[in-house]
Amino acid sequence: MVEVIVQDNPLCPHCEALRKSLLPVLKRLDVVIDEHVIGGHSLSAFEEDYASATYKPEWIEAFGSNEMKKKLKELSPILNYLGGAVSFPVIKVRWYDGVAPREVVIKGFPTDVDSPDVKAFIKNFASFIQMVKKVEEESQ
Amino acid sequence: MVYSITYYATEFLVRAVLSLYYGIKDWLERVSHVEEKEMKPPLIPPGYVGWVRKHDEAGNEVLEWYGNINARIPTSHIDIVTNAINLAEKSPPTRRYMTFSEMASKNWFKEVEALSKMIKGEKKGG
Repeated sequence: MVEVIVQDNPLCPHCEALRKSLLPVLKRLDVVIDEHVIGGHSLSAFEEDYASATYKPEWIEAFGSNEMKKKLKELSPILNYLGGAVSFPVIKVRWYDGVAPREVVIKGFPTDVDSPDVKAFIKNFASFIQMVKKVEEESQ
Repeated sequence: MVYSITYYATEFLVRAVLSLYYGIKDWLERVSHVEEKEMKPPLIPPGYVGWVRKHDEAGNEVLEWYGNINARIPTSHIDIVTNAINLAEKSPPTRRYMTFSEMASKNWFKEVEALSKMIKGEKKGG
């Protein structure tokens, strides 16, 4: 089952643009969508998002590339701040290829819905979802 | 009309040389077409009957029987020694992080491939 989890906030203009442009496409593709409200005054205000953990020095030490590790000492104060902050919108695509679960996390979205970047993103995202669906069908 | 022996001999030689030339040309073309496709060996060999160690949908390690029966044993809480094919170590659960601009680019699929190759290279290098 291909699952898309969207972490967003109702007061955020970026999230509103995402809801307008991406969610209709996902409904057309017949994918399970799970919307999580985070940040602000929501019940899950202090819940961490999926992407901000990647800024934490501990994460970079464990999973980061060699280039990241070289610059870790210089940037550690900023990285600590960014790692503790909650950022949205974040999209997580989750699927099972017959051997192990796979996940792709995409962070950020622009406010302008009609920009060519958004169209390219939606095109890529739709083709990616279709590819992932094929992978899952073959594994069953 | 009667032809001489030399005529038949030259015709035979010319036919032989030309057929050999075109035969080799066709064979080389066919070989190049076949070599372009890199066939990866399947993780589980076709017709395999036995246990396979892998991850389930939630990411926990399981032993699954490949054959006529559906059987799955959770093994994440125990250390077992088996002769089963171990796919759990070969391809563990993965999570990839990317930004909006990366996914909106035209060469997104190429970038993902390059990223996966880079990660594999780093793992090999230690």
